[in-house]
Amino acid sequence: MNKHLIKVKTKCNNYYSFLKKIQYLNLSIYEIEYKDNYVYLKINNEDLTKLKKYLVSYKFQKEEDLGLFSLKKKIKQNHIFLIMVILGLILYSILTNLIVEINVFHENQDLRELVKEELDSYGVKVLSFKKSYKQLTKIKEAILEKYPDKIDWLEIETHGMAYDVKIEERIITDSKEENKICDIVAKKNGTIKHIKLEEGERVVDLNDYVREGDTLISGKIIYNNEEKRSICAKGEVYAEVWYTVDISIPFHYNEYQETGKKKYNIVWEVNDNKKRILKNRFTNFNSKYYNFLKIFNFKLYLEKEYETKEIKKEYGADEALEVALLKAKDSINKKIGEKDTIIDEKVLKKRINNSTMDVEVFVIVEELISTQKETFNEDLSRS
Amino acid sequence: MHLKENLINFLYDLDYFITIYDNYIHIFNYKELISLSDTKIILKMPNFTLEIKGNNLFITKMLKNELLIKGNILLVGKSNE
Repeated sequence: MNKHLIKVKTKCNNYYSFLKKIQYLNLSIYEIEYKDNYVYLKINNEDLTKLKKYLVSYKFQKEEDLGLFSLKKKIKQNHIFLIMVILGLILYSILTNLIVEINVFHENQDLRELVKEELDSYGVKVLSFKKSYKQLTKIKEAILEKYPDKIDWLEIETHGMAYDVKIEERIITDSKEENKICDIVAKKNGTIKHIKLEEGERVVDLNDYVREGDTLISGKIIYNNEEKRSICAKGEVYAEVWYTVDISIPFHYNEYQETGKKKYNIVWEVNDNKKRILKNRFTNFNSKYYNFLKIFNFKLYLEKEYETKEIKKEYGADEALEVALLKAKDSINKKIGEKDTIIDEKVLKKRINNSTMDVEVFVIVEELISTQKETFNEDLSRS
Repeated sequence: MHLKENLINFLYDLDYFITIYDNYIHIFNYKELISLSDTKIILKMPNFTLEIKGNNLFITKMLKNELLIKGNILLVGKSNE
């Protein structure tokens, strides 16, 4: 049984006479301390009544409970705080072991979805508990075993409350591809400016005008007017291609300039939908967002609103022409590929109306016009 | 018969012992505290009287049969009276 020990104090001018008196009471004193005319005794709780009863000249005061009883008392006094701490720890351990996001990194969407579905089937899903390293290794091995022809390598990394899944696709080269016979043909009309030949026989020359569908590089290797071998031609052919663009530019336009005034707002976002907490105080403004809280799909932003004013401006004829040319180039740049370049642009027609200028622009582009086209294998068809 | 004596001794633990440390003296199974001052403590033991002399003598623990005295202990003596 646990003893209920307490610490008591009493004022005492002569410590030795106090102890002589106390010894006849047959008490257990576990600790005695004498400090500043006070005696501090560590005794059993039941002995306090004895002390008070027989040593009437001394005034005994209970200082504190000791041992388990003091702990029980402290727990009783702070039970709300302790419950909150325990709940907090439970919540913390739940949150640190919870997965709120699974990111699968690969450019192939089908593969991403396949891996997500597989992970889901093994219980690796959003708002589920984290798996141990051993379990994750088993899941990885199971997926790799299930899809040996699709997935070459798979890694699941834990970053906070998210799993980052990195995959490497298994690319099996098709042997049929190597036996394929194909030509390089033109996909647009144009004048040949540049030929990069990798495999095959060139059938066009520089500055030749070709039409859509014309063969540029042939897959049939001919020697002494005799077809020696058929391969899949490879190469790139660039040609000068012409475009005409019609642009209409209004002479009057609005420009927005910042006034220097700024105001702050709080914005919350759920599933990419932003909503302001306070009303807008500017009619025209530019915004900058600073994210300061992110919980699952919920985000909070501090928004800086910079007031802008509308300034009405007018183009001169030359300026409008420059803008028209820039817009024509922009529209062509959107149409052409990364390897293609605009060589030149010229104004074909220019008509000035009351409020607009209509311009027809002629743009010359050096463009990749070649594309691979599989040809019919005659030998195979005969057999 | 030794077994019986040992058992009784183990259960009742009536033997006294005195242990002296650097600044402490521990006495087990004393009978009575006869005199107490900061320089001299006299204790009644089962068959003799124990006298402890020293400076700043101070009782730090006092149980029914046990005493722990702290202080600069100079002399521990025994008399049969």
